[in-house]
Parts: sequence; structure tokens; C-alpha cells
Amino acid sequence: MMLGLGSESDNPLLQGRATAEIVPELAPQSSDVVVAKSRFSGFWGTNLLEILRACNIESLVFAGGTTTVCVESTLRDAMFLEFNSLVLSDCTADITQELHESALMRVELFFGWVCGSEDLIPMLEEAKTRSGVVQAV
Amino acid sequence: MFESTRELFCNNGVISVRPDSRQPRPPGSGSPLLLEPKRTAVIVVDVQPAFTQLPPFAAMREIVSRIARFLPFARAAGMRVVHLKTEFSAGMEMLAVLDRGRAR
Repeated sequence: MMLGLGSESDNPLLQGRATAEIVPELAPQSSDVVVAKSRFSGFWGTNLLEILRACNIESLVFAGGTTTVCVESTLRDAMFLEFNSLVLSDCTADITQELHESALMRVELFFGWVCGSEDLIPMLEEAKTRSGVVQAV
Repeated sequence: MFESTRELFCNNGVISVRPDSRQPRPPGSGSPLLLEPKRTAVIVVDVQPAFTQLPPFAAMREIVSRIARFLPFARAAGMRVVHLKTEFSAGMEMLAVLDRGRAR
């Protein structure tokens, strides 16, 4: 079993369990969206695609884990659905560093783009100050 | 160690991520990504105690603080934040994602 889980009552991902919630440090804000999934890809059995389309989203920035499994599965589906995807190399993680880096390399070469959050943050600050310009275009 | 030089810049509120041109890559790959913050969503995948507290996923503990630092900048720039979380309701135990062998 993927998580080495025993019976259902032991499953830390059972709906309603504290262990199945988003970690407190990343507590969702009122403007955030939370999507529950039961497959590796966030697009299966969820309304993620409808949410992204309703928000007029064309690009995705990925954080979380694991890089090879749930991040890459979701990212590949996103690519097939015509979204552009960027993976934050220092905000994603895997069981081993080798797995993590192999996923980053596949994304870099085939499925999207990769950069570090510390490289992107200054760009976000600059984009914020210019957002009025974008609005006016 | 996976390392690749990238050039990032911002022009009129649009962020450009240009991959390393020296990296050998397949045809069609290597073009810059253009991110318009208001048309970009941050997808935060499965950062749940069920994973961060489980030994095989210890590395996921180390990214929590970096994601926590990143998200406010993304929101302030106008990006939408979407949290994915894996969860199962009672009776979903037989799903292939939890037990590949049994599902077959």
C-alpha cells in the first residue's frame, strides 16, 4: 500500500482527520481555493479544470509534493489541457533527492519550466507595482 | 544536482522565465514562459500532516516554510492560490491509488 496503512480507521487521509487537512503554516486564505482529490492527479474526479477556467487561468506554478508523483501527475495533465506549468524547485520535494531532481529535469526538458522561489519573488514584487499597466492594456 | 541557469525578468507586469539556452534539449523545448499573474494559479500539492509527518516524506517538511514565505508574494501579485489535498471518504479504501495490487 502506498502509505503502509492498515485498516480504514488508521488512514490519516480519511476525510475529517486533522492529518488530512492542509498544514497550519499554509492555512488557506479566504481568496484561496481548496480542492480535495483521491488520485495522484488533481484533475481526476475533481472540478479543478472548471475552477481554473472560471478564473481565466492559463499558467500554473507548482509547490508541494511529491515532485515525481502528485506534482508531476497533475502537471502532465495540465500540459495536456493546454496550461503552462512552472515548478518551484525549492518548494517541491520527494522521497529521495534523485527522484526530485529527475522530475525537475523531465519538466525542464518536456513538460514545463523550473525555477527557484527566491528567483520568482522579486519578479512578483515588480509585477505587483506594474499591475496597473497590465490592467490598462 | 539539478542546476540550470534561468533568466527571469518582468516587463509591464508580465514575468518571463527563460530556460538555460546551453542545456541540450529536444526540439520545441526552451522557449520562455510568460506569466501574467492574474492569469496564473499557484497549485500547492498535498502539503498535509499525513505526508509531512510520515518518515518517507520527511523532505516535505523542509519545504513548508519556503512555501509559506512564497504564497503571500504570489497573492499580492494577483495570483490565485489553489490547495490540492488528498483525502478519502469512508469506504474508498479499495481505490487503486491506495493499493495497486488489490485493484487489479
